[in-house]
Amino acid sequence: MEYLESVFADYLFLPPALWLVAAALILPLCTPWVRRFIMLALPAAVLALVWLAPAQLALDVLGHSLSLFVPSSEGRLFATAFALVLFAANLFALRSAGTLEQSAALFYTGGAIGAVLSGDFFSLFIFWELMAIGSTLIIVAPATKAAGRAALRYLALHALSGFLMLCGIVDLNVQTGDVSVRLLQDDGFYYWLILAAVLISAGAPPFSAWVADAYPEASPSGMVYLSALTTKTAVYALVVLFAGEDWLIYIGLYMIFYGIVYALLENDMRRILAYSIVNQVGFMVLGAGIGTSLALSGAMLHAFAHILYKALLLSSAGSVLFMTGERRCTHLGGLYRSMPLTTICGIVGALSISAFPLTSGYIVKPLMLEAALAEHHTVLWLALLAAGAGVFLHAGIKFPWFVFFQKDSGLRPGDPPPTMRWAMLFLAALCIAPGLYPPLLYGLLDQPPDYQPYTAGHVVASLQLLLSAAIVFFAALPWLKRAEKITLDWDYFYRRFPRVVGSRLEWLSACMQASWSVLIQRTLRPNLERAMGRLGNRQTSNNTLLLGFVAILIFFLVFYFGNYVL
Amino acid sequence: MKKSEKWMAAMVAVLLLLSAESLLQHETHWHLGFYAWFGGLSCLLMIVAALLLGRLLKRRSDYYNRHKP
Repeated sequence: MEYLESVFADYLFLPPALWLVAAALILPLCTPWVRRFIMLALPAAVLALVWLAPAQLALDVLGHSLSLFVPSSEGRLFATAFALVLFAANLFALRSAGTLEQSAALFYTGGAIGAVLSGDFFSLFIFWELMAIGSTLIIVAPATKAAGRAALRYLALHALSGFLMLCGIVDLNVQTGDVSVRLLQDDGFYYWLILAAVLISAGAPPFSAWVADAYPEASPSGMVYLSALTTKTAVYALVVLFAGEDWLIYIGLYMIFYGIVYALLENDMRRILAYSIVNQVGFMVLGAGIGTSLALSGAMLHAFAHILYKALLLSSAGSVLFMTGERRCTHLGGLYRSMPLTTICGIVGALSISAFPLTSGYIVKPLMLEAALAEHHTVLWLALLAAGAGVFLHAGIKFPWFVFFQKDSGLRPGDPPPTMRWAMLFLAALCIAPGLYPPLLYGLLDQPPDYQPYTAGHVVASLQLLLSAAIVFFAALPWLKRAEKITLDWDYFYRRFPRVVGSRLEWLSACMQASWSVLIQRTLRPNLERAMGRLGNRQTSNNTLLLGFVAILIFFLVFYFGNYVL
Repeated sequence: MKKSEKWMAAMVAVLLLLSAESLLQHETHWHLGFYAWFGGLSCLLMIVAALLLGRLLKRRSDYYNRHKP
């Protein structure tokens, strides 16, 4: 019996993330039926492990103890959402996605679940990198030229995020000697390195553009996975590591309004939803910035609800893309006639994201408003209120109106195959159930927030806000029709600006090359050699940092020119 | 349903919500259809901001790929 117990503890309670990674590796070798079984059964098994696995699990690697599985209540909440969305997205991808994408999705989710459940920074870093690899594979899976280019840009930014995090963790280890995952203090360079790494992954400025650049190039099902994991893992990290950091309030505000404005200017339905991800993550970043217990609860529950309703919106958009092959709003419209179920599910998602009563969004979004009010941030409260109306404007009405109604585009595609329909219905149920019975969601927290969503005052106030937003939308409709264009973003400075300078001032690049070679020969190389020699001893954090930065530099140059050649 | 009828329906809904509000004991310190006019006004502002920014930042969709060697 004792033997059985130890076997149980040692092998069955392998961290759920490792199960997922292992399954990802054997998936391509399986027959189609086994593959489908794994894809549908594994998320349920993972969910069970997340909640039932009792103890901590540590591995000794090279004298370091890696705490791969130390579930906190925050981690469990995120892991639950990830497992639920993995099930829905697997069901959605069951017939349409190729083996590479299916396998990459399990790998990617393994990384995300591992990251939110890990107890020390080294494990967090390992899973962070697995996530970057898995998500890049999902983006390249359609094997189009545009997807390849976007994936390369995406990977460059996420590799930068990984490098910054690694440098931060090394510095953290040297400065404090403690790498357990905890609320970090602003007392060293590591704080800003790790914060920058997490913010890049969250889509914070000036790197917000990657979300709308990379995600929409994935396959119809690919973007469902992508929308749920990377940015929300970053939100988890902000909530757990950086709660109460004032800068996050301003960064969150920027993201909220950036998402609204750019989505209003966009014509591609999946880019509209990608900008909407940045907008929604902005709310969560802001919640982490306020940092009170109510704000953190609000941010986490918002993340949970958002993962599910954004997956629903994207599977409805994915169904449209799958059936019509079209992403541009100018070429879509009138699909409600032949895709009734997709339309209804899209509208449920749109109402949820807009916090319409009886949906999951309605019971989680006001928590942030209450938190701002409790801290006497009246300006912040007004901004959040305006942002709430703006969410309805760009995601709640614009997406369903231009895709399913608007005009008759002449397309009569029909609803997607059964597995996709079931996936949408499953997600729609998960969006409506907490709206009808709030404790379903509030109960996931250790201390459920003390907030009554269904008072007459709250319902009337939110209906007023939403109705006025709808009236303004339809009044301004003639100006909101978009053409096929893109909007410049901060990505101009790493996608176009260097080339402009390079082509206009060729002598400058020649000068730069000459100065580089002098720099490398005379200064960098001897220093690097010395640094390499001293790397073995413990006091070399500065050299390690320097090496990290040189590595980043080389990496960026390689990717920049790689991008140029492509 | 004609277009004008739809607008009428929206206006009736606004009036209903405003009157519902006046009947309620308020838990917040804002009155007089604050959520309605504030929401509408801020949406208008966001749309104007988006259109102005669009004039500045819109480019052809092949903007980044045109000059690839």
